[in-house]
Amino acid sequence: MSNRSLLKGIVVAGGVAAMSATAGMAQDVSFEGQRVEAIVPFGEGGGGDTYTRFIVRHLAPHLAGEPTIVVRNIPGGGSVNGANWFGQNAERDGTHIAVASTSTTLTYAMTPDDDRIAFNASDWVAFLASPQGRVVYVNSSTGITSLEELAGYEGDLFMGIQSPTGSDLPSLLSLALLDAPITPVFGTSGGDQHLAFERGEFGINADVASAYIQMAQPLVDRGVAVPLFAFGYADENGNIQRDPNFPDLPSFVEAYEIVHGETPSGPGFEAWKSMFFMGVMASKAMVLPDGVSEDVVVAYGAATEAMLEDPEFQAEAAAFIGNYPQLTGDAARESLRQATTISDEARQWVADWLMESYNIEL
Amino acid sequence: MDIWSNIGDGFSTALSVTNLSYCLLGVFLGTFFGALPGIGSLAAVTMLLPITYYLEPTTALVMLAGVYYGAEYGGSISSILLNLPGTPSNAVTCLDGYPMTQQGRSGVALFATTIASFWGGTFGIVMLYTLSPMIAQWALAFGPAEYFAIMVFGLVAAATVTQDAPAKGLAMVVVGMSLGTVGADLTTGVARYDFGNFELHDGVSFIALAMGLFGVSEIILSISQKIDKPFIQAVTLRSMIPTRDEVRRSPMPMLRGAGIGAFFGALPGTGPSIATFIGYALEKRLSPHADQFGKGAIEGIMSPESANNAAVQAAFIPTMTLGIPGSATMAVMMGALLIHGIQPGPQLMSENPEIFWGLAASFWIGNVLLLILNIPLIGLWVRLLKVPYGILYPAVICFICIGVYTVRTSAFDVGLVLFFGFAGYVLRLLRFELAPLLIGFILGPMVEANFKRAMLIYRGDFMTLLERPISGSLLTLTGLLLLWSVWVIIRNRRERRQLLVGGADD
Repeated sequence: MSNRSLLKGIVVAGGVAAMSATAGMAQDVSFEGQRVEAIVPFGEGGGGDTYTRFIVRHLAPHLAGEPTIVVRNIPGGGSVNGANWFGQNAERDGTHIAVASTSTTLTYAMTPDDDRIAFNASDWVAFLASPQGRVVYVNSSTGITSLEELAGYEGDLFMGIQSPTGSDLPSLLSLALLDAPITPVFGTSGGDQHLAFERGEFGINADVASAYIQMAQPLVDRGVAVPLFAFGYADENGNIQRDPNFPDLPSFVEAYEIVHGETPSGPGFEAWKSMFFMGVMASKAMVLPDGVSEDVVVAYGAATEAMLEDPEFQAEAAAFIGNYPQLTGDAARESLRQATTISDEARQWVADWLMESYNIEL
Repeated sequence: MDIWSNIGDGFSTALSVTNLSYCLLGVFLGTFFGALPGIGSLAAVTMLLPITYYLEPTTALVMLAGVYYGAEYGGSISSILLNLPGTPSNAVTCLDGYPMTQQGRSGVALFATTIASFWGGTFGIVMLYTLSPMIAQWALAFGPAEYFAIMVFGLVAAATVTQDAPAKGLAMVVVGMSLGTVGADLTTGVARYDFGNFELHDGVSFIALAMGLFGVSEIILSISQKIDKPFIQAVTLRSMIPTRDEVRRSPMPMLRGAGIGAFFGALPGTGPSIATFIGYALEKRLSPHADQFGKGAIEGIMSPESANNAAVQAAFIPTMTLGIPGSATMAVMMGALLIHGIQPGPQLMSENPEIFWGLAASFWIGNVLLLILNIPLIGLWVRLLKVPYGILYPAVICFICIGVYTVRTSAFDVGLVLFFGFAGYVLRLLRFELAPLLIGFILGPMVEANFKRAMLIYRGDFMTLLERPISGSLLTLTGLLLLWSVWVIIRNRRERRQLLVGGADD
């Protein structure tokens, strides 16, 4: 069974194999009897943890030799602890993999000079990238029904933000670029954001797609919340289209045009695009460490392709990763590359904006 | 939603093979640790917390809760047989339990406390069932101002009501809150008080603090106190049969104890210890046999044990519905929920109903299991008390260190747990209560976050906190509580002075 799935995998993974001349050697890689550790730089039960546990459960039977994959949580430092561990100690033979999520890529890209960071996320080899859309919605008690009204709103518009430099930053930046006059309430965790929104204390909120469907959609149906826009979804050419899960909502680019009457450009938009990749297109990715041999990459690519085709995986996928196309091979690597790089100019723009608006140092 | 169908769902969750096995394991280990003199439910729950990391959240909570109330059951065993309270809330049970042992009637005492515990636990669970949905609904109206006020109230109550020395209690709360400020600032992400230590960037490890203060220091204390073990008599099933007179005198104290326990257990910051003392005092006042109290009166063990276990179950009400831990042990339980990614609070019942109802059902199943563990298997626990501590305690220290290390794979935390162990030992020698410290540590950051949020929303107007009805009355109550404790401090000082003066006269 393992041989057959491997052969099938090699055929499917043509795209991945093409970049390597040693692809034929992939047959030699087998993890039989081995233990693969999947590093999760967060505690048990969070988004990154549930995602990883779901993926490895379905990935293990498709990997050559059917190894046991165990999840190891190394929380702390906003994912820096675990990422450092992975960067420094991971075996380069495919027995160590990790999850890279928005917090990790954002910290890595935005604070390159932080001496606590001892990992190189841009060199990691992503074999799966899972996009996750984001939706921004307002409380109907604010009276806001459109993007124009949001930009021209006069009054208090509170918004719960976990941390100014954490995974809510892409949402905060989007609203700043749309001239939304919001007052962020920093230090509000996700659960509290929803509670305060429901009580009417917070007028506006942003959710990743899965949380939106679970927590905010019922409010929209009851007329308590009004969705304004979704971030969007990048096509193969990197152009930002409407989110396939929310085809009725304008993308951020459309929203910008509605508010400003012109297409977005400049360092602010460059920064937004980087954050779009961090927050949406590579919201979560499974990676191998840098310097890993090509045949290991091929083996993982093949297993991932096979997993995505597996009906058992597909049956459960909606609940964990939503109905987004999953990126593998080159596309996954490109997505992670985009999520881990930001131009110096754009980064400086974000730092200045955070300092100017909220007196916060990046 | 129909409450009966919820209860039904809860039982089907709790009766799954996994949950049932972990419930049994939990109550077994709880009784084990509870029966050991000195190691209380708090230490037991903290020490076993790391074991639950790899379990499903519901299963983990079922087991930890089992440890908690199991320890409260087991605590009465050493109170009765050795005159050493297994947990602080079993201290009152010594007063009449040990005299019964001296009269050769330990079997009756053990049987009676088990029945009282079971009844108290059951009553507490019924309160949990009926009150929680109501409070959860009402709690949706709780904004940051209300959360701030109720937590300040809880902190002051924890420091003053249950303590002999309110000033020391308040000092401990402040130390706890100060420790809670270490780590990244909520608003700006800037590291506070980490002294350049990367390990402290996420704050002081809760597990290291709790295990150090309550596990390690407990053991140091036990080693340093030489305990002369009295002869432990064998307990047979036959010796458990109470006299007809005792049977007649038992139900009312048990009922009253349960009511007192459920009330004080549900108040944030008070907990089981105070409930047992009040239950005992009330029975002594009401009983026609007041002269027998302290000499083996059955009422003297029925009421406190019933109150104790009712309080333990009722303490889950504020934790699960408001996200405010009622006692230090509940703070650990809440930490366990958070570790598993579950935010306790009004949304818990709607978002994770299987956890709430499953847990509530497991409480009752756990209580039934405890009935079985404590009556036919009582001989086992009696024998446990004969294991030499020289073997037991080093093993426990090992488990603590392994447990702390695995949480964050951090050797720094192992150092921290030992540091807090010694700090806790010194504080205990100075007669400081450590529970308020832990409550301060847990609630401190929540107080800060809610205060900041309230100030942002109300544009920095402090008066809003007093103008809103719920937060205003809670803060007024807090103020009165503080005044009362100042009065107690002054009165105690005056009494001590008079005692000293009186002593000089002799």
